[in-house]
Amino acid sequence: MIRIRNPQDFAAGLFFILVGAGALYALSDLRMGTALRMGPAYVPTLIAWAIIGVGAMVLIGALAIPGPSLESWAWRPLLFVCGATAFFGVVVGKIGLILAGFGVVVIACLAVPGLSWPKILVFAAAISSAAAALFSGLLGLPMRLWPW
Amino acid sequence: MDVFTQLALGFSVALTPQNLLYCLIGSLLGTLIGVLPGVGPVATIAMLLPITYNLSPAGALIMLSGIYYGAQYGGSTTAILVNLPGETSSVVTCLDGHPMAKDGRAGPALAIAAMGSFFAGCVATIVIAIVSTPLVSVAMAFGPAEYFSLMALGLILTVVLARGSPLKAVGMILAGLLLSLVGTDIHSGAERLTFGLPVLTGGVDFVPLAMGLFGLSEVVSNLEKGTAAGGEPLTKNIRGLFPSAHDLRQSAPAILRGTGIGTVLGVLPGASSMVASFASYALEKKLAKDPSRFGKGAIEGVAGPESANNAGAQTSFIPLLALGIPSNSVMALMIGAMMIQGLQPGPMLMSKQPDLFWGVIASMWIGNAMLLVINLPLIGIWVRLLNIPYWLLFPGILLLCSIGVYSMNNEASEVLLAAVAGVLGYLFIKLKCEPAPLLLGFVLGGMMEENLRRAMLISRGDPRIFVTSPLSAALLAVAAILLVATILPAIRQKREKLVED
Repeated sequence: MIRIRNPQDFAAGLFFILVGAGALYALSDLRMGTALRMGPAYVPTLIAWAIIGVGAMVLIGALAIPGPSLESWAWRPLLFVCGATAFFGVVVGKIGLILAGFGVVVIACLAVPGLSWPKILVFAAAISSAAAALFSGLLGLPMRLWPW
Repeated sequence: MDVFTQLALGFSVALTPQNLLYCLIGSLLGTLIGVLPGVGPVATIAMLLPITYNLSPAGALIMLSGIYYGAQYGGSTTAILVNLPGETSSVVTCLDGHPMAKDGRAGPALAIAAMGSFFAGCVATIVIAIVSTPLVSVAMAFGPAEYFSLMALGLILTVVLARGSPLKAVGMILAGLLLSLVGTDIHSGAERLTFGLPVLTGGVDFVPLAMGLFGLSEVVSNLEKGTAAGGEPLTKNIRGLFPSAHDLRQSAPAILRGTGIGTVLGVLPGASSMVASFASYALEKKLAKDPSRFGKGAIEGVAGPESANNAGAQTSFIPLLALGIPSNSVMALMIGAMMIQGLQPGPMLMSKQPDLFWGVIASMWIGNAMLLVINLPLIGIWVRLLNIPYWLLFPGILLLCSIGVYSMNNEASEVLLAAVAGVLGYLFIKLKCEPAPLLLGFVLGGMMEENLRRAMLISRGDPRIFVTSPLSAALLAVAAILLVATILPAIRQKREKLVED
């Protein structure tokens, strides 16, 4: 019976195969060309097949040889850390550095349980104004500070 | 031009007030961020990369190299005081440095680490100056086929020296190569692998990718682990800073040996400075009259590995500056910085821009001297920094990253890309796939495709060009042998495990 003995490697192998397959799908409309006159798809297609091959080897190894199981994910810090960054990117052009920075710090603080709101708000105000002073004042980056 | 006139040229560049200032700022910033718990050199450089965007090319590279050794020095400081290695190569420093600190000898431990690093830095700088010139003239004779094979060898070497599964490292390299080809193909104008997203037409940008993979994912992982992993910093009982005559006598030969090991191993691609410090520690333990002192605060156990580590960190610039091939993820970041500055890394750099080339080399020496002078008096401040809880730090770090990425082009999409790369980086941590090979593949991918295409044009589509050119054949043979030698034992080991099961 086929049993997954190394879930971590199994997932890694699956990841590689998905990346390769995704690339092949995206390249399907492009010209391959020949070795002499390579089309845009030539090199990436080779690499995509190679990565599928490596993925398959990792996958097969994971079926045969026991290894570590999948670790659980820390969703809360992942969501709020990457979310804070994404938030900054989306809003900074519209509401300016100070408010966007304030938002980043508030969202980031939500990644850690047990911080009180007054603490977070004071902290966020302090850091975002310091960042504005440093980047806009001292380094002179051409960035909007306020929404207006 | 002999080595010394060239070095003199370098010093004339590095000693301009402006570049001295960049060197100082770089070393200070690097130490500052390197000392902060849970932020290693790679993450530090990734975060500070955008700051150098507006500087002159020489200024930017000088500042980044300053950040690099600063961060390494900061890593040793945390290793000694808190038993928290800021980076892999200071794992070894923890072994004897922290017991020394417990013993109230944190001062001498930090001082000897700085002195050893400085000495190693001096030697390595001279080695770089001497070795680069002949290496560049060899590289000038390279055609596209040789270049392709050299880059292939460089990538394989990172697999050989990577921790963890070599097969997964190969997969990560391939993923990096694929990622580097995203965007518009310069020959046909066709869009490749963009999945119709306008953000990707210009290709994946280096800074957001590095920032997400190394910076953001590290923050998440630190929050997950809870950074109270190390003990309380041993700040109270620092008695005296300077090593005694006895300490110096014990350390001097260790520093010499460490420098030798580090200088040689640093040139090899892969986890070089870590391998160097491990090798030096093992050697010191073997040579010691009383090996049982090791692990309990033997000063040679700090002096040797710290020197080896710094020598290796410096000589790893050799393949970067002479051949344009990064040997580890820090050097991959350096290549990224050079490309941002519009510089083409590789053998042409030395002949086209000798002032830049030698200026950077000279600034390494100056940076090390600055670290020695600045850091010893500042140890008190670094120690106080260690007491800052992580929740006060990481929101600021995040904001710094976000502003940094955004300020490159004022593009919202690049900040989003960094966030996506952060999630990917975290996935890689969970799957035990190292991101460093991916970054190296990403940096070399474009150049490899270009050289492959050129080689094929020259040979009229005959792939045998890679084996009929003796140099290329030799490089590929070494790569193949190394790859087989790495993957086979790994498979055998696993098979044994299977039998046991």
